[in-house]
This record gives sequence, structure tokens and C-alpha cells, in this order.
Amino acid sequence: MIEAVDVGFTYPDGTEALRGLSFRIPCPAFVLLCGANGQGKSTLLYLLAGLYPPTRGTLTVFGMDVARRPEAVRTCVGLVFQDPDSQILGETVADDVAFGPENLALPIRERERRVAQSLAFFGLKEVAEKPCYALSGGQKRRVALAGVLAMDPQVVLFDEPFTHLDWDGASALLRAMNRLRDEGRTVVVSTHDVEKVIAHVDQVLVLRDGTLVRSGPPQEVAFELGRYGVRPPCSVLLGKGLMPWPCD
Amino acid sequence: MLRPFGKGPHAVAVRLALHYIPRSSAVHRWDARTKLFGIALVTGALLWAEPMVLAVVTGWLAALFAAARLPWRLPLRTIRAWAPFLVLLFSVQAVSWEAFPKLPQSLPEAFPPDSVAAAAVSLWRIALMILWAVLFTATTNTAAVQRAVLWVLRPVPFVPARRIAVMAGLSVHLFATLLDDLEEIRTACRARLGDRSKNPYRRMKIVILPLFRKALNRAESMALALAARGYRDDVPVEVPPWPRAEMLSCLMLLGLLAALHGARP
Repeated sequence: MIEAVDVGFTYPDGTEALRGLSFRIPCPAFVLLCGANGQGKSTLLYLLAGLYPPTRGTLTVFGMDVARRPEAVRTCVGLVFQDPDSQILGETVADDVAFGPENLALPIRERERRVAQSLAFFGLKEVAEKPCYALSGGQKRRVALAGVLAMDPQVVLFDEPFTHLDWDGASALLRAMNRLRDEGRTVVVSTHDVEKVIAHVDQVLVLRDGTLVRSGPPQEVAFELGRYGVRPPCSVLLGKGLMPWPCD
Repeated sequence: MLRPFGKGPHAVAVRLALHYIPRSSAVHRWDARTKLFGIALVTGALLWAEPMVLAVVTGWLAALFAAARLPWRLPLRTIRAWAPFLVLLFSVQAVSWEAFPKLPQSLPEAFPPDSVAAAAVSLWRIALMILWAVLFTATTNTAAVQRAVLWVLRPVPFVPARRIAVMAGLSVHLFATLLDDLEEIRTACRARLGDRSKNPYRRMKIVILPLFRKALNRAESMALALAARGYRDDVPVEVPPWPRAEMLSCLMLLGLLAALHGARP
């Protein structure tokens, strides 16, 4: 369970990115965090991942206070960055995927098992020894995701995950997200482009000017997104209701 | 006009020397410590080596490049990249400074044969040192280098061995990423006709400043990514033992080099 009570965050330069956020996310769940650009979505993800401490209020992940135990939070929350180049730290694909499990101080056999499993899950076995700089954008996105999942987090956060992905890549990513939710994890996707994901989620949170302006099931929120500066999905605009983006 | 660096994205990084080139050769499989100590010994020996020893070491190098199945263009490309520095070094050493500030009257007076020969040997030495370093980085991945650094630093008290090892690996990674960024900025600059400017200072500024900003952003993102992926200094990392046969090979190499040193006239 993720619980935020009156959470706020102000950057050191005085920019107030988040104000008075209160919400609950059960586990497992598939949650969409949407809003126009610059509304505080990425900042909220950094808070949830234990990278920034809230400057006001209380944020807990599985009962752990993010401000007090950020390192413990990071062991059960994985964040997939918007730009995979920012996240990839290893020289080869296998090195990068192994980086997280190594930090968990897992025994070598368990580490190798997780790396192999993660590489297989994302179809990266063939490129395991390839240098990361030589990968395509879609492959880098998969490496970033494999690196996070090798840590076996209970909560997986995605920051604008569909950027630069083609149809196949986006479908594969959406399938992976659904599978993670089916495995009992909590998936939080932050995006301004709700088209692909909204019909698959259980809950939608809408941010505007750093505040939570709407939350609820997608069947309700999808029709009101235009009010908050977010483009509703095409099927809603065409009056056909909420239709899932095909990913099978 | 800018020349493209090759096909596909990240072509700059692919063309980089001092980069790991994955292969399944015996040289690649050697323990990083073996390669590190072997190269340290050879490089040390090069400092005093006579041309005969240089020739032997050059032969070893060529054999190892072939055994590692590295692209034959790699050493040539590396030397070409270092050429301005090597030429400068050669010129400084080959020229006669005795008559300075008086201008020499002839070419042999400016470049005496003895100085030219000594400069050529120095050049040979430095080129070999560079190529041995290229051989090491091309056949050893960052993880193996990190384990070797950990193995070396672990016995030293109060030294954050893992942090140093990880940072060494990340520096290599960041360098390649920044070269990609540089190429991207230069292409963007060219697309907006920035290369038409006659002012070299302005041409440099419009590339260097964005690159500097990108470097800072990359460093910040990398720090966030390290935290997000649970980086800790105190994680016990297992380093496999140094294979005995390879350790013995290093000792034999040390003996051989000592014998060559002793055999100097």
C-alpha cells in the first residue's frame, strides 16, 4: 500500500512542484498518473521511489516512511526513467541488468538467475554481451526495464514509458505492464499521453499545478480529462467509450 | 562540412578506442588482473627498453591483437587519433635546441640524426604503451575491471574500494555517452546552419556550452539512477580468486623482463 497524506515538495530553488497531495494506492494495482507537461508527475515519481524526501506531509510505501527510510523504500520500488540513457549504468546489457541485484547483496547464483530471467523475459538474451551504447532506443528501454525488474520490486514506476517507442515496442511494454500487475505488483505509469494505457488501468490520478485534481476509475475520469489539459483517448473523443489499446 | 562517423546511432562510440569490443577469444577470457599486471609490467619495461626489446614487445602485441580477433583497423585508428600529439612529441625531441635562439642553417643541423633516432625510439615506446592500453580496454569489460580494482584496493584501509571501482566503470560509460551527445549537438548545429559562422570562437561556443550543460545533466541523472537502483558502498562483492596458472604467467613475464633488463649491454 502506498499512502500520501498532505504531501508537498519544493525544490531548493523555491519552485513548489507538489502541494497537498493525499491518495492511497493499494497493492496490487495498475495506476495511471497523468497531467500536462510540468505539472509535477516526474517529481511525484521521484518521491515515490525514495529519491527525494517530501518537504511537507507524509508519504509511506508498505508502511515505510520515504523521508526516514529512503534506502529501504528503494529496495521495493523500481523506477524506469524517461530517458533510458540516464538509467543504464553498465557497459554491456548483462552488466547493467546485474547492477541492481548486486546492490541487493544477493548470492551470486540468485543474482545470475535473476539476470537470466530478466534477460529472457525481455528478449535480450541475444544481446546480453552487447555494449549498451550500441543498442537501439527500443532495446535500451527494455534493458532499463530488465534492470529494474531484476531487483524484483513490488512497485514499478514508469516515467513517460511510451516515448520513442514504435507500435511493437509500445505493445510489448503494455503487455509487460499488464503481466506485472497480474503477478501481484503495483504499476504506476506517469504520462501525458493516456491513449495507450488508460483502458488497462484500475485507477487514474490527475495532477495539475502540483495538486491532485481528480482521482478515480478510468471509466469515469477518461471523460473529464479535457478539463485538466490532458487529451482524452480517441475512442472517447469519437463517442465510442473507453476502448483498450490492443497489445495482444 | 562534418563527415558522418559511420552507420547507425552511436557510431562515434563504436569507433572509439579505449572501448570494450566483445569477442570470445582466449585473451578476452583471461582474468582482468592477469591483463592488468601483464600490461603494467610490459609498460614499465618499455621505459628502459632497447630497440631489440621494443621489437619483441611489438611482436607480442601484434600476436595478442590477432589472438583477440580485434579489428585490424583498431591500432591504426588509435595511432591516427593520437598522431598530432605523437608528431609534436617527435618534433620536440628530434629538433636540436643547442643553437637556439640562432636559426639552424641546414636540415641535419636542425634535426641531428642522433636526436631523430632517439625521438623515433621514444615515439615507438609511447605508441606501444597506447596500443597495450587499447588491447587491455578492448578485451576487458568494465565489470571485470571493477572486480580487479576491488581486488587491488580491498586490502587498503579507509579506501572506499567499491565506490572507486564503480566510478571507474561509470567514467568510461559517461565518456562514450558524452561523445554521442557531442555528435548530436554538432549535427543539430549543422542542421541550423551553425557551421556557417566564420567566427571560430562562436562556432566553438555553440557546441561546448550545450555539451557542458548536457554533461552536468547526465551526471545528475546518473547520481539519481545510482540511488534508484539501490547503490550502496557497503555491499559485499565477491571477487573470484586469481587463477593460479595466470598468476604464474605474470611471474614468468616478470622474470623474462628482468632477464632482458639484465642482458642490456
